[in-house]
This record gives sequence, C-alpha cells and structure tokens, in this order.
Amino acid sequence: MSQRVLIVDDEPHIRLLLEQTLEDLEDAGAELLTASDGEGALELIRSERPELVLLDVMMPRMNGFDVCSRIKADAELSATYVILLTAKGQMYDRARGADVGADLYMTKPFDPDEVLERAAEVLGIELDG
Amino acid sequence: MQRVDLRRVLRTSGATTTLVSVLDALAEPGCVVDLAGTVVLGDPSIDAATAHRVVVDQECVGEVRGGVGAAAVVQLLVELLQREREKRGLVRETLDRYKEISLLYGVAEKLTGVLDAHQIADIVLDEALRVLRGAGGAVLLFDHRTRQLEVLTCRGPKAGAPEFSDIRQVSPDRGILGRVYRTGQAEVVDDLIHEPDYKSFDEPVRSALCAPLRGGVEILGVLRFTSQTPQRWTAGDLKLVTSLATHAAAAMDNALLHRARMRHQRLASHLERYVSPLLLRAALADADHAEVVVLFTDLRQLDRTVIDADAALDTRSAVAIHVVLSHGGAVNRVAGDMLVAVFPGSSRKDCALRAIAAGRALAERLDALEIASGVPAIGISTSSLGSRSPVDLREPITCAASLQSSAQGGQVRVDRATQQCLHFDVEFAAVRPISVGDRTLECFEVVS
Repeated sequence: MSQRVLIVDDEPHIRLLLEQTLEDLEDAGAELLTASDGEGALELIRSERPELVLLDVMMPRMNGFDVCSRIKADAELSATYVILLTAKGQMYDRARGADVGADLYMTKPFDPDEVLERAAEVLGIELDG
Repeated sequence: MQRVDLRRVLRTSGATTTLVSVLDALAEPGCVVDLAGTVVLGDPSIDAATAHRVVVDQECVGEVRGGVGAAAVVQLLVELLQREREKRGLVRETLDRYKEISLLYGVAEKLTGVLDAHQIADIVLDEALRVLRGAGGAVLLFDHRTRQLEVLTCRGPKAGAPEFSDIRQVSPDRGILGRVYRTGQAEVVDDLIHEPDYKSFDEPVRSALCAPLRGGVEILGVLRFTSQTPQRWTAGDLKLVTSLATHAAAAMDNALLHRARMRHQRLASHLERYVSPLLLRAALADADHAEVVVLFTDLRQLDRTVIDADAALDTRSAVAIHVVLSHGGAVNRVAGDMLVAVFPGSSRKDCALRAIAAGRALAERLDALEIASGVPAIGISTSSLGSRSPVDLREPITCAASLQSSAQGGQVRVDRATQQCLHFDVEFAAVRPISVGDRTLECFEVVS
C-alpha cells in the first residue's frame, strides 16, 4: 500500500503550494490527499490512515490544535506524524503545539526544501539530489 | 516552461467530474489517455484509431479517443491544461520566493553573535548554495597590508572556483572581482570568456555574479558566485545575492571591529607591564601602526670605584628614569643594573629619535654625576607592534642588549630598522655585525 500524506489548510493557495512542494514524493509513489477543514481532515485520517499530516492551525470551527489533540488521543491514530504548519509564531503557540502532541512545529512562510526533506524523512523516501 | 502531467492535473484541478460527465454525454463514448497510453478518464475500450492529440503550447500531453465530440473535449482539456500550467508557474514562482525568504531569515539568524570572519563566510556560502544549486562560491576580503583581495573561503564544485585552488590573492585592479571591489557595484557576467582577464581551465567557469561586501562607507571585500553554465544568473539572483552580501558585510564589519578590539586589548595588556597608562593611550591611538623602540643600557658602567655601590646605582637609576621619562619613554629595570626603556608611538621615526636623544642625554647626565660617573654604552632596537602576532618585546630587548654589549662607554648603537628610518636625520657609521642567536645583526653607530 502506498504511503499517504494529508495536507490540511482552509486556504486553497496554501494547499496548492504544499502539493507542488511535495510533488517529488508523489513521483516516488506517495499519495497526496487534501482537506480544507478540521472535520474533513479527521474523516480522511480515519478512512485513509495517512502516515503524515501537514496541519494548519488557524482554521474555522475546529482549529489545528484540536485536530492534533484528537489524533493523538486516538490509540489507532496516535502514531500519525503531525506537522503543525502555521503563521502563529509566539512561544505560547509552540508550547501549545507540544502540549497537544504535535511532532513538529513549522512557521509560514515555510522553507519548501525543509518541508520536503522532513516529509521524505518521515516517509522513509530517498529523494534525488 | 512547466511540464504538464495530465494525470496529476486531472487529479488536482477538480475537473475530473466535469470531464467524465462531458465524455458520457457524447453521442459516441470517449476516453482520455496519457502519453504512456494509460486511460485516465472514460471507457478504456475505445478504438485507438479515433484518437485526437491534446497539444498544449506545442507539447503533446495525451490524446482523447472518441467520435465527433472528441474534438470539443480536446479543446476543453487544452484550456484546462493551459490554465493549470499558468497556475503551476505562479506557484513555482511563489515557492522560489519562499526559498529566498527562508535563506535570508536563516542567514540573519545564524550570523547573530558570530564574531569570526571565516565562520561568517562559511555560513553565508553554505546557506546560499542550498538555494543557488550547482554553483560555486567564494568570499574575498581586502587586506590593507598586502593591498590584495584575499580568498577567505570558497565552496561548491571544483569548477566553481578553480582559480582559487592555488591562488589565494586577487589584485583589486584586475577582472570582475577587482571591478566590483573598486566600484562597489554588484555585477552579473553572462559569459566570462569575454572578460579581458579571463583564464580558461579544464572545467571553465562561464558565468559569474559578484556583489560587494559593503561595511558602512568602506568596501570590505567581494562575495562571488559562479557557474559552468553561461547566462545562468538573473536579475532576481542579483537582488538576492546583494541582500545576502548586505547581511554578510554587517557581520564581517562587526567581526573585524571585534578583532581590532581584541588586538588592542592584547597590546594593552602586554604594554601595561612596560608603559605608563598615558603613554599607552598615546601609543595605541592607532593600534594598527603601533611602534616601539627599546633602549638598553648598563647602569653600572662607572669610571671609578665607589664606596657605596648600591647608592650609586640608585642615583644613576633615578637620573636614568628621569631622562627616559622626559623623552617620552617608560622604564622597566631588569636584573638590577640593566635598564630597559621603551619608547612607544605610532611613528617609528618619532620613537627612534626620542630614544636616540634619550640615549645621548643619558650618557651625558650619567657621566656628569659626581657620586658615580661613567659613560654607559647604549643599544637601541626598533620593533613594530601593529602585526597579527601577539606582542612580544623579547626580540627587540635581546637585540638592544646585544648592541649595547658590543659597544663601549659613550657609544650609541642601533639596528638596521632604526638606522633606516633615521638615515636622513641622524648620521650613522656602519660597524661590524654581531651574532644574536643564529642570526647576524647589522650594527650602526650614532656619530656625534
């Protein structure tokens, strides 16, 4: 079964940026999934069981902290690697990310190379160059 | 031009449902096939003889198989794919800007608090070459002593800096590096073959991008990136590297100031053992050009035996100290009867003149003493303190002592350095050279 990466962000252009950033993973056989809100993300995570989730924090109705908290509280999903990708940069926000169990906290604007490298590392994919 | 992957576009554009509906609505069923011949949409059993090529910007990306309505589907697909291509181009542009922003943030963060010029150069090149892939880079700083641009560090493919594998200095009067340094203007050179001073190598560098490292009003050096590909560098790259050079120059300026301050403190801590604070301040006003002249004499050189040798020595010492201080020097008495005086300052000639005047005055005053007269022999040696090596007065003291021991009472002997800076002002006579350790020291006697 191919590995899956779920991109969660309420802004379509950010989803597009991340999809294009992670294209090399697709070429290596991974599948990229997207969701535009927290509830949709949780549904996809339960049904598709992605190995990696790139999760925006500032989303309406259910924010990224809540989504992460629910992922990590579920025994069947807690092994999912969660990267919080957000414009919020206060120490308090980083601490909250750690509290809800996020595996990594990255700020926007993100470094595309860093995101790709980290995702490849999580999935165990070796990239060319 | 962004390549179009039909399958990927259909998946990400959200147009799949629409296209499937259109294909189903055709009088004759159709399907969309990618370049590999795989059906990506529609009925795979359609006959291949009825294929219509899908061409986007002169690039064939697949085909639509079907009947009369297939041509309309092709038009729809081309329109969709063109828009996707434009969108991907914009996304690529945005991601490139993200990379540049990350580079500048990363460099600024890593340079904070770094006070070593080599480390700064390493950070700047390592971070830049993560973004400027396939390029070579070098950082050169202008050395005021050698008057050359010195290669501080270089990185990247061998062809990125072949000329720096052996050459560590570049003249500021030649080539693109010299031009950028002199003008303070960043430059892109599309093909170095056309440069007047170009040298070819086995793997020649073809294009270059250079930016000045501007520290305040002074140009500190040059930041350079090269490529084997001609016309590699764009105006955008020039802006990025210029921004990078600004960060690097500010950090370099700090590092060089720190180095000068540390050198100043080292000089001060050494000279504090020999020189009064007032003289020290005057001497180190320009630490890069601090000079010191050492005067050595034997206070026991007497023309008669005295009853109280210690009292005589004390008297002669007091006189000697007064003479030295009145000529702008400072005294450090060594081993009881030998006197070492230092004359520091920023002008070698001034220091040497004061030392010789003090030597002559010393000889006169000590010879005139009733309690313990005798004309001492004087040795004078000159040394520069404005160098990178730690301050060490042992060598000039040793030279001055050797000169003094080779002289007779009343003679003032100096080394070559002292003679050279004063040969228009003082008359000297060359005397037999002396051995100091494994060296031969040229000697000159001051002619009264």
